[in-house]
Amino acid sequence: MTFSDWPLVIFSLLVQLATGAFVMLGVIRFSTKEEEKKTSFYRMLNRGWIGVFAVMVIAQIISLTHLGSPINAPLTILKAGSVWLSREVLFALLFTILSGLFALLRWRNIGSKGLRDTVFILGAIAAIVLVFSMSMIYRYVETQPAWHTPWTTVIFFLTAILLGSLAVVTLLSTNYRSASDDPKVQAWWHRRMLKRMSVTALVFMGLDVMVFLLWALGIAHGGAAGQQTVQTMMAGSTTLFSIRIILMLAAALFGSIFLARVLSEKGPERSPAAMAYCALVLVLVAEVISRYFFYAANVRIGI
Amino acid sequence: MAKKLAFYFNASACVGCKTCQIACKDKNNNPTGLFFRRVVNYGDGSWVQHPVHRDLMVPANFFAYYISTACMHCEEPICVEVCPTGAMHIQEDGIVLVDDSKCVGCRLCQQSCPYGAPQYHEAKGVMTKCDLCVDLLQKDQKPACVASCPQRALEIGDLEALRKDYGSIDAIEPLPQAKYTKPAIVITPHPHSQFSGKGTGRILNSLEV
Repeated sequence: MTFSDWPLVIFSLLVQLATGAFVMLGVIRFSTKEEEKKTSFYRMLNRGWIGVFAVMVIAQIISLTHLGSPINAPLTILKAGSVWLSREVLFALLFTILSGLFALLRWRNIGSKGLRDTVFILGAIAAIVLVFSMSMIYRYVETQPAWHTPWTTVIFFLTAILLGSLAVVTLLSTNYRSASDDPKVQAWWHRRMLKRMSVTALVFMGLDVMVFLLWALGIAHGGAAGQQTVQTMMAGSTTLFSIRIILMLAAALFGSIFLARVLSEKGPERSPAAMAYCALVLVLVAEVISRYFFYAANVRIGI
Repeated sequence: MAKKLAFYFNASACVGCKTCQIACKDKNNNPTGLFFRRVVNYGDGSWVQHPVHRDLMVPANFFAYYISTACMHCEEPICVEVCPTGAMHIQEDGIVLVDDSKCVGCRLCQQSCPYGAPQYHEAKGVMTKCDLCVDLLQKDQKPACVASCPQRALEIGDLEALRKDYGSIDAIEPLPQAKYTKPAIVITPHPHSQFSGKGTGRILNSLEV
């Protein structure tokens, strides 16, 4: 892992956060009934859509800092027919445009429902292809055994759903205001969505720890090259490896307390936002460490 | 069929003097730490106690040899396959080149090449690599590394002709197996050379290369 890899670590995590949040917000959108859409709470989701667009813009600016000649960056989409990196750049641009457009349509209430649905579905497809392309950049090269495995794709999608659902939980829990709506409709919707998203996040925290361990075990059993990879990856980092798992478990604990509090509430009370914040921060740190290991595992066959 | 240019390397003649490495660096005016050609020392061995004279340590399974490597101008170059701008390209004569005006400096080629051939030029912000001294070839001269080798361990020529003359070995440790990128190289192995993928040794000058 070199210094120049850090912008990529941040870029990949931000993109996965944004794509995951976009899809998760979409799940909420499509599972909300018409009368619930009138609540001020539902309108708060607009902040989420705008946030997704903002995160994508920031992620792409950060990715430019990794380049030696950013002036040539527009040329990187030229090979979209055959090169995964080109596809990633292309779909990152498409997703940014579509998520921005969707946020604008929702925010200013422009266009019909059909138009907004179409833009959302195109955006979600772009998001999925983007995460897949991103994983294929790493999976493509046969002489990098730690990356040349389907686990790479699995890890990237898991991270996207985990970060996305947690970000949505945080958004919903921090933006709570009872406003002037029918408190019963609002509270019911709020609790239902928080429950759904926090259960998703908790399930994916468990899967994340499991897959991370399976990936590392898979490398260790990959012959001489694999063992060398593990040695390089773990050089002085065994503590960090444990810290990563402990952080995820701690986040799961905070998430569980959050879920228990949400489930026990009967009225439109304020949700325990601090718990959601803590879980999100812990998971973000755990994911940065995870990505550090991912890049550190890049031991190439050959010279 | 068009001629496909390739290097020939005689590992049994190389003494690891690194003249080729320095001649290349000088010719290309490369900054510190940037080497298009590198001489890798591969080997292994240990010391064991003498079975009778217990106070003596004797060498066991010692072996070492040098391998001078640069861009292999592969027939299936992974650097070209992963380049998002088309800056990395392969010419009809088989030479793999970087087009400075297109390179974005993403370093994916460097990361992907199992020979570590493309290298990032910090000051220029683009990737650089061995171009087989294409300017010298045009003047009917030999590449700097080939011309400078005091052991005459390096040669350049048409791949098929080189294979006819010296055989078809194209992968000895620590080079990767040829199946990955089909390198355009012909090697005469050292008596101790091990085939790629079956090595028992290690790179002894890993910090240097």
